[in-house]
Amino acid sequence: MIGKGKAGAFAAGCLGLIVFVSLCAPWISPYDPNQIDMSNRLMSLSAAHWMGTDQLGRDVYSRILYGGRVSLLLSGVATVSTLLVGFCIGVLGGYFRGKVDTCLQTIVHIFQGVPGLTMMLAIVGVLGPSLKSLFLAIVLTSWADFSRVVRGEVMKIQVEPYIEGTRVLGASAFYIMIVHIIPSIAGTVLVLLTIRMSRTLLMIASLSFLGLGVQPPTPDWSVMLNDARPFLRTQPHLMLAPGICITAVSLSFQIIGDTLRDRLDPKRMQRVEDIA
Amino acid sequence: MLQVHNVSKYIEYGLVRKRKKAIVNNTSFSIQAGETFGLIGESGSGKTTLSRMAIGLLRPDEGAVEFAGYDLYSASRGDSKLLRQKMQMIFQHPDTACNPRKTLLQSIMEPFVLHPTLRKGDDHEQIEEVMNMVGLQPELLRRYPYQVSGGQIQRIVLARALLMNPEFIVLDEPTSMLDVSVQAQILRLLKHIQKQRKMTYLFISHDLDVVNWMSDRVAVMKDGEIVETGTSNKIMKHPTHPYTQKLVQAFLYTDR
Repeated sequence: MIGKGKAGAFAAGCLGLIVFVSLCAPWISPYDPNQIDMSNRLMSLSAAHWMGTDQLGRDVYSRILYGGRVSLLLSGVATVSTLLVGFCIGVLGGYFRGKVDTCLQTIVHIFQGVPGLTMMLAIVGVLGPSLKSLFLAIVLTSWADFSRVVRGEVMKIQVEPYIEGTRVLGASAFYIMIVHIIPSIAGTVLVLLTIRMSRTLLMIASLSFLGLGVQPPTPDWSVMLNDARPFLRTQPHLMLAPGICITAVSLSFQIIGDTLRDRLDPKRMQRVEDIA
Repeated sequence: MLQVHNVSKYIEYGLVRKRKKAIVNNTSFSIQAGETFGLIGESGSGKTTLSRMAIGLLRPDEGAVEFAGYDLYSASRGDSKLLRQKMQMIFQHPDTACNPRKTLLQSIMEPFVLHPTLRKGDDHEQIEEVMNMVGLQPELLRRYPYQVSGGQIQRIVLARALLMNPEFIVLDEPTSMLDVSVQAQILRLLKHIQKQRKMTYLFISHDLDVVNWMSDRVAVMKDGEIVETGTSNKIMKHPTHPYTQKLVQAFLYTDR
């Protein structure tokens, strides 16, 4: 347990640092990330360029500093939006059961039945690659899983005698939901959220890598990864640097989620991880 | 005071062909004001389902429930709110009777939040009064549910029900999860409070001894139907239905 706590703290620190650096990129980066300098292309690590330069002579270190901004922001916004959609639908279905639940579950099943990547490619393909369509693709592919977990949790809490006890006191469905049900599942949702963040980040990275996500010349880790492909043998650091960053963020979220799960309720939350 | 007219509740099951099974089948009974009506039967006989329908928590598929002249399931919004206040229920499991994330004070305050008209000046005075009535220190309310015993929780739930000023309380095996000495205390307390507040009880149990001691009249339930009703004395001494006879017999063998 102590080891896990330390890992969690380390992950949180690591993530905090990356977020801080991304926020402050304009002030700490030594070069303009989009400054092309063809006379200095594909340079190795040096004092002037800590991480060398890419095929257009742009400073890799500056691009790394900037590279998390789009991915992190988008995955944050998209995950929270996914959560909101899934949460509302899950709570409604779980609480009211019956016809409401049947209708909602049918929609959920349809969305869960389509393979995620296929649906994302279809959405981005139809709408054209942009941040908006990327956002839409993420929310539409992930909300269903969320809503199922939330629905399950609500159903589990809802049969607790104290909920019925509150109903006997004359509480409305709305009161029970706000005062009793939502606080009880908040922990589960928080864990789900952090673990999902990591998934979303990887989704964005893979779409960008396929050329359907963040578009060049925006400095972005996944775009850099894609750009560096032809030079893997000669200049491996061009791929390593953004790769390490993506892995670090994704892993940090994962570890934080794990730690939170253990801390909040070791027994009850085990299931969340299996689904997320 | 409470009339239950021919209520039924079904469950549907089956994968291809839907089949119906009655949990409670065409059952009627009535409870007079001020009495304790015992409901006895084995697990799965439909006692809890019947009582939940009687108190307005579960809409019956057929039949009607009338309380103090109002039809429970077709009363107007305002009337239902009033009825809700007059009918309370104590549940079986003390360990889950209060929200584990809230202090007992927060739990016991809920009647005030939900029905502001119940407030009569000082909340704490009112709470102290009901806490004294159930024989607990008000300081106990600072704790969380897992920090107090099952017997104490049941007392607190009872205190909370008393804050609502109910006329009718359903006691769904309130003591079956408690050990015998605590059980006796709670039952005595319930009787005492009933006298003091002139309340009507529907007392559910599978323990013949307890029901007999608590109740004025007893109904015996089997497979979703009430098979026999009578004063507790009559049920114990001269049971007529074969199931009741078996029940009384078994009881006499095991406990005497």
